[in-house]
Amino acid sequence: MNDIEFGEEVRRQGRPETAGRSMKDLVYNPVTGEFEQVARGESNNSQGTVVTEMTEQGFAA
Amino acid sequence: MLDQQRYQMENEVLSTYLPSTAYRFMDMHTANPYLVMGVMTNHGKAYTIRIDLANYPQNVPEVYVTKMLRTKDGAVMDSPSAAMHTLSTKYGFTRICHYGSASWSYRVSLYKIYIKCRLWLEIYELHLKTGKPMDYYLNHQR
Repeated sequence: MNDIEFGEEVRRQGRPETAGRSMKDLVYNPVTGEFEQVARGESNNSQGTVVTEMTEQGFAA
Repeated sequence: MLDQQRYQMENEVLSTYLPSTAYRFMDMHTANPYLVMGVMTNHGKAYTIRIDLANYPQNVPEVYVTKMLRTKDGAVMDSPSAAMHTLSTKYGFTRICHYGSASWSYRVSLYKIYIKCRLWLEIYELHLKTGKPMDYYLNHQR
């Protein structure tokens, strides 16, 4: 997944009503230090921390 | 203010996930303690963020990128912007708008704030590439 696709997936997670529903979870992998998008509900703890709620709930301001 | 028990817990979590060289607690026995953390984006660009701990965890901590960032158009990111998820500058640094007061809980860990600000930086770099405002990608809290 390139960075444009990554951004669009983040957008779908936060704005499903306008961008379409995402079928992926956003995961932060502390081993690689990178964000990854994995099939929704299929991440396990060894892959990192699921942080989809950050994109779904959004940022302040 | 971060009490000793919470400090130890936060430090333990950070040391579990991050190398010890990636973060440092500063001025912990003063009225203005803060945490400095190194951040590397997916593209390998390095940033440093500063998390002010004076009112943490009772209130949302102020978080800064330790330099003044600019938008793709060259505008300094020194003021409140809903489109770019920023707040008013301090120290001459860009301030990240991450959690709002309404969504804040004292349970939010420093590691979680780190991840959220890491995501903000990832989307900032995407803004520099596409020119789209950051709130095109990052939703606003309701």
